Amino acid sequence: MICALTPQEIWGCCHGALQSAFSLLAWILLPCFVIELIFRAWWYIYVSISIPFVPADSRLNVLLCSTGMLSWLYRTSVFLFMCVLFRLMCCLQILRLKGYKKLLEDTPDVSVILSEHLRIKSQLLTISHRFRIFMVSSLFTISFSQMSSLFVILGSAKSINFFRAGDLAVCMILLIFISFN
Amino acid sequence: MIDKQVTYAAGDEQTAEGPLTPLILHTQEESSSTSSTHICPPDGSSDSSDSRKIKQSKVRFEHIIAFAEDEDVERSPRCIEAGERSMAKRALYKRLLSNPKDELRHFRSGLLWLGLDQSSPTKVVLSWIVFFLFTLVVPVFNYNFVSCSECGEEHAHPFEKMVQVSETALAAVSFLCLSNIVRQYGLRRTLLLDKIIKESHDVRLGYEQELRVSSLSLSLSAHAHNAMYLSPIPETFD
Repeated sequence: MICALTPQEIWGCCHGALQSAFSLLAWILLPCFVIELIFRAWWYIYVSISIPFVPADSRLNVLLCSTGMLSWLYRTSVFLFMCVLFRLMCCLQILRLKGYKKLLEDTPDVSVILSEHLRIKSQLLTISHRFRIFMVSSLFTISFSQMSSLFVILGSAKSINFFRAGDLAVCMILLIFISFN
Repeated sequence: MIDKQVTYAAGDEQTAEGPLTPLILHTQEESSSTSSTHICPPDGSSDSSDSRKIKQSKVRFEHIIAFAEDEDVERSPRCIEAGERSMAKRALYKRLLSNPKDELRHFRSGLLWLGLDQSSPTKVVLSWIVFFLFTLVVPVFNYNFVSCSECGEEHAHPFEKMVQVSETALAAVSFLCLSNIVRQYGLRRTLLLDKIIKESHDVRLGYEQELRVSSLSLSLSAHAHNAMYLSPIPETFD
């Protein structure tokens, strides 16, 4: 880890990682946003909005469409942000482990190696402790939603097209992308 | 013998926003009242400044407080080395202190744009309002008041409710965990940046003999930078 890397390198990597975390977020978010936007716009052209005491208007459709898109964007960004944060910390740990490998090659002193090992272990424990609840609960949520959507799709397998199942497709793309990532 | 008596007062108790403490060089108590006079700064000529006179008077009381910015004072080689170390330490402190404004600025602005910045009570309330608005109010509103009575079977939305529920649940889980983590540990400690600083400080002080892997630097940092992007996490470290 850091014993084999100078602080400047580590810091530069941190800096780059912080910057690239948000670019990664944007790159995941952008294609899904385009698909969802097409789907939502198509849907809100057809629907009629019936709010009590408010006359129906085509501007209401635009308003509701944009708030729906904002809501989708917010929810997806929050989830993806958490994932990107976890990934960022894992990347830093990978950096440390590479430095540790280098340390194993160079250093004859066992006590240094052991202390570095303990330090990496404690940091991994810290990360695992902080993200444990998120990992477990998102695992349950994703599994449950995927299972239920599987049953619903099996129930109505005769007519699946983009208009009917576009939102489901976007949701699944996001979730599966995250789990592969 | 004097080399062993040089201690660094700013060494151990540095925290993430620790104050900048001066470098204190202790000489040996009572016994070295005569021998300690050649330590930093050496007994100088007669045209010394007032601060130096103060220091010389302190030498008589077996204590020298040498601030790191006293560069005009002549030093013995040991003191020069100590001064370099203190300058390095000072650089570290400067970087430490300027962190919230520089390195984390993009991160914080991104958090702010997502409505997740919880660094002040106003922002906490704001982020909770945004969370409830976008996660609960808007989907429920849209689901209840948007209907398509004349839509055929081709255009109906059979999965709307399920998708909304699952997205809302995911967002709620993420938001609660993130706000819990950030509130409990702070953004810097969440990102483990404080430990990086501390370890690099330790490296500076204790493990300088281990730092000869400069040839590795470019390839490693480039590789780490690539790893931030879409490449999968490598599993092999052997």
